[in-house]
Amino acid sequence: MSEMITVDLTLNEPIYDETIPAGEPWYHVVKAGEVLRIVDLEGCQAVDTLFYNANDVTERYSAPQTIVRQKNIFVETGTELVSNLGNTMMKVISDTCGRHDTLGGACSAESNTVRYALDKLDMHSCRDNYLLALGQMGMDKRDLVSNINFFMNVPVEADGTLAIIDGISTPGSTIELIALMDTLVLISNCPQLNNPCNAFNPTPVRLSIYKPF
Amino acid sequence: MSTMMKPLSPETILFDEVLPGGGRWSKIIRKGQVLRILNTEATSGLSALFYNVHERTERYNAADTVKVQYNAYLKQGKALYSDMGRILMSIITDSCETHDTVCGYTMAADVEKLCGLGNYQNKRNCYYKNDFDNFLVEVGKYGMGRRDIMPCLNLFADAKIGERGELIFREDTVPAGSYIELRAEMDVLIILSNTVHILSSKDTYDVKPVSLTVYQGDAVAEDDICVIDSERSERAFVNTRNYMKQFTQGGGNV
Repeated sequence: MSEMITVDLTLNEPIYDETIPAGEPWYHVVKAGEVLRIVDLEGCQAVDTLFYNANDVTERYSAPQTIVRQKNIFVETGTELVSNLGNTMMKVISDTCGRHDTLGGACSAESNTVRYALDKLDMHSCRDNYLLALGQMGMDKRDLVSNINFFMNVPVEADGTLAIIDGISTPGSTIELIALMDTLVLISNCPQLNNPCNAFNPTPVRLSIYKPF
Repeated sequence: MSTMMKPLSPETILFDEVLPGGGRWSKIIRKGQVLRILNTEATSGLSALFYNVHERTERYNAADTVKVQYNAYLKQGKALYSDMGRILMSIITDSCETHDTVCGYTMAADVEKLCGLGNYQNKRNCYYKNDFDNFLVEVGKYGMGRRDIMPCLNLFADAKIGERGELIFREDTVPAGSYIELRAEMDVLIILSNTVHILSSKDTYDVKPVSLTVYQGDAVAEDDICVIDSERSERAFVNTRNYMKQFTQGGGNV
């Protein structure tokens, strides 16, 4: 882990501040130096998030390179989000949750049919949120890669068993990321109802952006 | 786990090739055909990408592969899932059960940091290739590019996850003669890159060849280990077979 960046956000008013309902997509450019704060308002809400270089979206978040950079699968304070070209996109500067997932990816209608039952195809999913938002931006499915699931708890046991279990995120859990390049952040506020990733009750999250001082 | 490699009838073999150390390779393999990869000299980390030939935006999805199977590790009986709730390839045999779904590809800077500068000027055709550039060249032959390179699978690579989430990489744990057999459940484009693993600590670029054989597999039995692995795999086979019906209308074999 490289040296810590500390930013005192208490003195600043956010330049952007919205609460996003459960099950909605959201995207916004966070400029280099700005800080994105994500608040899990009611706790245990998975926030599926992707990152693109806002000036060249073929450069995007890479789960493997992020994991290899810090030699750990969990996102926490100090984690650098690394792109598919090996560049640092954002860095986690504070985190009150301590557990965010890099392996599980986003839910989709099609994977729900396999994971739960063939008749789950009509249920809302993060991948559909992503496809809608990407379509609005002139991007498409080729731009979907493995995402980060903020506030989602996916421990890996010794035999490789992957569990999606009750989150450890409590109401008000907050993560803050500083952008090291102009970063297009794409979020699906997860609508999954088939497993405990949202405590079976998807809820809103608050997204704020702060300017550097 | 099976350790004896089944002898193949010569008439079932479609291709029999060697992928040298550093090399890249691609092939379209039809439903029912099997890719046997023999790790003749214990190389560590053969990187692979997989696409549905008919719709290349459908591709290997590391997240769905580990999530659907509730396991980060792969072995005989497991499968490589696409992002569309279908199975691209099934692992019908696997002698080593040591593969990495997490660590991804090397880039030029990674290889140079580890092994030094190995460009064409000073190494000629033994120049140090890396996975990302290998992938760009190979997917480029199919009209694809950077947006089509997703997190890859690394075969024969011993990368595990510790209890605090830390990566644990061990070299030289996969014995020479290890092999894996992947059966295509759809028509699949496979891209391979045979370079060093991203977590390797060896400072010489000494990547060993692998042997690649494609043969016509047997029909999938009702009690096939990959089909009956779980209720989830059974549903994924339903999805996959339903999708493939469009290519077999009129009884033609695709």
